[in-house]
Amino acid sequence: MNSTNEQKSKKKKKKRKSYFLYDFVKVTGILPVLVWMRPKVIFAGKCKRKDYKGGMLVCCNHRGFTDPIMAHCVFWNRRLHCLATKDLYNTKLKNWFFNQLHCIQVDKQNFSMDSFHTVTEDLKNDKMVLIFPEGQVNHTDEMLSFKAGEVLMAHRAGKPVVPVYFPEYGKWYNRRVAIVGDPINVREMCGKIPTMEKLKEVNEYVRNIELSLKELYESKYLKK
Amino acid sequence: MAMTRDEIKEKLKEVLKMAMGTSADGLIKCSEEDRLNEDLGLNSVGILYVVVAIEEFFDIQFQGVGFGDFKTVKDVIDYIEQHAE
Repeated sequence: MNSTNEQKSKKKKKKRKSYFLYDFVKVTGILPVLVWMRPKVIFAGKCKRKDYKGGMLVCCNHRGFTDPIMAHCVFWNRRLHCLATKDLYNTKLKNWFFNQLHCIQVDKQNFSMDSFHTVTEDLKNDKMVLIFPEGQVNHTDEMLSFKAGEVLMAHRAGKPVVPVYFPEYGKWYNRRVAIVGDPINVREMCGKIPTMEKLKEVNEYVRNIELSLKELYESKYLKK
Repeated sequence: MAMTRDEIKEKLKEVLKMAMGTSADGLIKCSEEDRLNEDLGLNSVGILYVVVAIEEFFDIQFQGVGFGDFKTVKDVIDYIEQHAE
């Protein structure tokens, strides 16, 4: 019995991946990113960067492939685990690279429960997970509807959702902005055993918070 | 003690009711051949909800399976029957 437990713990230890490449990319990439994007981060709520501790599901609208980089600028003091579509893992090199960056592979056509468990386990282990609930890159000004799966993930892990809004940035050399809202405790809002309707309601609430961040940006910061 | 297929089906109906909400009236005639997507109208998030609720209710964990593996109610019951103690 003890030997089987030892084997299991050994397997777990083996599975634990190093953050070497992740940290290397982050440290070496920070200077070019600061020069290129000149990120401006606005904390719209009561919380400041230091208050975003423990497991959190960061929900952002999706403008383009640079959004994960911008999310890293927002929470530069944390390690972010991004959900990435399976299409990105189409070569051996990319597969290795995204695995080393601790991305969580998601198959949009045939969603696997393993991805769901990875996300909830990461959140339970006080990690920060990045998700784009629109499900695709959206170049229009209107925010797409959110998939309620993100609320379900946060609820299952018992961790809050952090809404982040990225405004349209126009040209590639323009300054990037991110507006961050206060964490939303979805378990408190949904109850212990939520119905699907309740989840959809909370999902809509998260989307509305992001829309209010957009309004705030357009009314207070865009004119300046 | 292992659950019978009928017990699993009844419990699964409860889960489906929670997932379908107002459109759950159609569940009265729910049969094992009903397709989750076309007949019960569950989208991907609905199926995710059902799977998570099953994990909670039956104390099992879905591993190495994708949503594409569950086309009908029968597929779900078969999986629970195989994995629930």
